[in-house]
Amino acid sequence: MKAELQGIKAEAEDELRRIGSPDELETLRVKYLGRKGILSELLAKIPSLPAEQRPEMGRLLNELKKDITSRYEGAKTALLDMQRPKAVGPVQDVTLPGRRPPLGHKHPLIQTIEDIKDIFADMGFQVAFGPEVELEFYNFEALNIPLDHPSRDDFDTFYLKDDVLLRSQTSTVQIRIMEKQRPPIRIIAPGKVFRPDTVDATHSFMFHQIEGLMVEEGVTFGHLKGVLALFAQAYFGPDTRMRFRPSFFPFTEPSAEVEISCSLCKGKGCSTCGSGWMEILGAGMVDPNVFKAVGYDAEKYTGFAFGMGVERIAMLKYGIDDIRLFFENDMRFLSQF
Amino acid sequence: MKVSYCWLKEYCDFDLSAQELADTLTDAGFVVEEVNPLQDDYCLDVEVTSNRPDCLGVLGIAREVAAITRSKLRLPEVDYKAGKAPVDFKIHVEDSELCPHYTARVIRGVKIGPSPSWLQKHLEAVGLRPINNVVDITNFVLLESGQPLHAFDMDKLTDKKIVVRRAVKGEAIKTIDGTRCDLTPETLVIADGVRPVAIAGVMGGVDTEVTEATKNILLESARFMPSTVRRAAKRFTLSTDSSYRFERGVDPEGVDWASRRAARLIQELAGGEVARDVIDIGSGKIKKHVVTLTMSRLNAVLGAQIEPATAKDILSRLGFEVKAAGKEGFSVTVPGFRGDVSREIDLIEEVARIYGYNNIPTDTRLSIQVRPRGRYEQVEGKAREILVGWGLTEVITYSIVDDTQHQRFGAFSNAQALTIRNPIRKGEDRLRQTLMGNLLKVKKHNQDRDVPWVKVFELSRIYLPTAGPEKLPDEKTSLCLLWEEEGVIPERAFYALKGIVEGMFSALGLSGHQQWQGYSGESFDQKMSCRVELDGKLLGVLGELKKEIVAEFDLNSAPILAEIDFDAVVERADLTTAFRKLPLYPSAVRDMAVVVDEQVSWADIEKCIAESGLQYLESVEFFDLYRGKQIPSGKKSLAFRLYFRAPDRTLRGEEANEMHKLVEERLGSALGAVLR
Ligand SMILES: [Zn+2]
Repeated sequence: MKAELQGIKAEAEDELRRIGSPDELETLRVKYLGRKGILSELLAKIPSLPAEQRPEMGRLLNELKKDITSRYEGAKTALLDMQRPKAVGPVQDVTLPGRRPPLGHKHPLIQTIEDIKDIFADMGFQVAFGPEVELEFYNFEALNIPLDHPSRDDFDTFYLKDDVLLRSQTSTVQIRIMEKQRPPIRIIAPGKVFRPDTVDATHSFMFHQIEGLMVEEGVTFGHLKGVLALFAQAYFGPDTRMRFRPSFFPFTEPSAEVEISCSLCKGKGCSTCGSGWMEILGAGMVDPNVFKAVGYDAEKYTGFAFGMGVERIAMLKYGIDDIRLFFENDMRFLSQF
Repeated sequence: MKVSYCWLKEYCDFDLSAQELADTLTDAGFVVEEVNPLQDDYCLDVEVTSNRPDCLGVLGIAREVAAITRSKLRLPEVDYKAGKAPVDFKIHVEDSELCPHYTARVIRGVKIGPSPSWLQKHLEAVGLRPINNVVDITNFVLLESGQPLHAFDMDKLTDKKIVVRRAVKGEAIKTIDGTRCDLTPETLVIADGVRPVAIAGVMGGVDTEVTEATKNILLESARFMPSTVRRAAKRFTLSTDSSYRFERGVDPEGVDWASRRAARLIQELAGGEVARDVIDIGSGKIKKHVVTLTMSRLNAVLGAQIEPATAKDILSRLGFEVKAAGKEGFSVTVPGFRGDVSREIDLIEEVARIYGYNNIPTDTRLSIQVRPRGRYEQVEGKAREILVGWGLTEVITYSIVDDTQHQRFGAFSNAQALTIRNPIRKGEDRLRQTLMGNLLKVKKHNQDRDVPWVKVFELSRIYLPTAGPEKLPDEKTSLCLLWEEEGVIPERAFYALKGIVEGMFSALGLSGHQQWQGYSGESFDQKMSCRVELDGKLLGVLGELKKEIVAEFDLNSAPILAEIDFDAVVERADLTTAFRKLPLYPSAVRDMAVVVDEQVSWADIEKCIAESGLQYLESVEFFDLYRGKQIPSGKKSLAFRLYFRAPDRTLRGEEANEMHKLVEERLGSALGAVLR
């Protein structure tokens, strides 16, 4: 009989859980708790049990009745609540907005720098810094850009004094690091650079660059391609293709302009990229004259360097069409990142 | 450089459409920015990098195309019929350093007139206006070969002589375009017996130019030092086709070639007789570069397996003379037009360029190297996370600022700001010594766009002049914060920002003794202004912006600003974490509120409690400041919580009460504090 009680309990609980209307509830009450209900019937059977079982069964039956009654009352209340949805009293409007703690935003250029830095950090590149107000030597001579050479025109520069300037490229950091450190070197140097350009949608007299440098024995142009391909796929997506085009920078040889397939149109050509390709950085093997300037043995070591414009990359990545937005600091812009 | 598609085809048979040609050139490092269709031709706008002046002539481009497409290069004819007459003209090169090579040919009895239509068409295709046959020919040969030429009306040259010399102070020249240039010895000129008749390599003078009436011509073809031409072109802001090429360096072997080419064309199109002799000064000095290329080095640098035959073929096609040398090397003679090639690495680049960068295998097999993040990077990253987490947004502003007085805010320097000599806008020439002024401008920018309650920070460099002999300024990383919030109680915002700064210091594990004290900076309201020192050294300032400056910047409220020496923060930060065991026994907590004079600071109370030497005092926590009802004027009530704890047992209530009492007595006797 004990087993029977357990079965009844489980069955009653189950049925109560599935109650959908007051009628069903009433039927259930009659079925279990009614005068002719299951429990009453069982109660009536007790006298016919062996004497030693009677008190135990009486107690169990009472417990079961209590249990079902309380569940019945619970179901009744729930049913009533359900039936008066427009009832008065405080009800939570869960569609009201939650109270959000304020969250600030990192500047998109900083985020871009951090993302790029992290990818190169995975390849063993360490962050390095250098001064923004720089000696002419580091910005030009040490980088194999002689005085009175037309290539200086490509790096138009703000001057403070004859030999002191605002660096026009982060390549200066290459020299500063190589001067005090021996190979192997893997560094990435983010920072501000300055060129006297009139400000418009694509030009700014101040912008950010990230310079990379790797110098070891046996580093090849193939490695340069490898490192940059890994970067491009990590940053722009695994389907990104890359191509190299010969170019000229005084401090690298061979030099290359690097393009990636447009992430918007997958290289088919669109209004952003035109041809399906986007120029993202300049790179090349470190020129032996640069090694000479820092006292490295150019026969023993080879290396590569690359430099990219952070604004340009952020503009491509986020589809931003005006470089000035980065420096206006309009909260409606910054809060999008 | 503008290149005509049809003109190019005259020297090289290639089977490419104009667009294909553009793509081919771009892939070889000559970016074609535009292909403009003409009536029956195309004009390609080719970007020639500064190391390749040889490609500032159509022939140079043709040589590249021939090398890439493996087609034949056809050089034009340069032979002419020399006459019998000798040259009755003297040339004297005074400064052979600035003019290492000078040639002149004399052509008598020319007939000046319009050029034939083929010549006019060639010039027009690349945007040049035809003038007359002789001038057009000099322009044509310049565009063809990259060697600038100049034709003088010989009869207008005084004393039948040319002197190449530095100008004398006081001399002047009126150039063909009508500009009058006052000359100094810095400038190299071509002079006749009495006066300058051309600025060497830049432009000729109007007095001796070839006109309709010209009969006899002196044809100059020379080589001038790039730097002297560059300086002259800059000085007189005369950038010409000629100066552009001299600045980048012309082919020493091409000087006479171009002269012969022009002489032949003049003879053909303008008649006249070319004199028997040629004046040629300096031609003997040309020395050829011979560079060794080893295949092992080539492949080691590129990470490729290029065959010797391939390398040899590429270099030969580009005009290099290649001879086998040693087991696996070449001895390469560099042609005169490739002044950019003098080292093995230059040859490696040439091979790689034509072989195709995209054909060199990509190699991702790098040795593993792991390096810890640098200290600066770690601290900066963490500070940024904290501030952004607390609701501040990061901004980036310009390092170059204008001369408005907000530069005086700087807490770290009041020296005269460093200035830029060549600013792009007048007045905007200062290097900032503080970030505060820029953050106020950020606030203003947003205020004008109805963005209320700006909470921002910037973490960037400021540039402080140094008194010492260092050439470079002290570049300090500054952390500047601007905070404002809705509400009428300014203290609220003040303590909010102070809390952020303190909280950040604490999260960064700043070591050393921090001391906050009153501060009378120029930018802050006296009543709410403070500075913080770290072991006696200024770490930063914080305060409410002065009313006058609020008005000056046209702001609608006074924000709270702080500027921190972030380099000092990095230096003293400690991001290592040492675990402390959790206490085994509970603490006893007692609150206390005391009434003290306004002059008594919280720091005084903290210090007094700390000095009372209570063994089991764990910490003191401020929680309320109250002035008003029940508190006499000139006084204030400070409420705080005392935490007592013993390491080895639970403190009894009486013990805690006793210590509480002791604190009360001590504050009473030392600071006149009365329990509230
Ligand atoms: Zn696209």
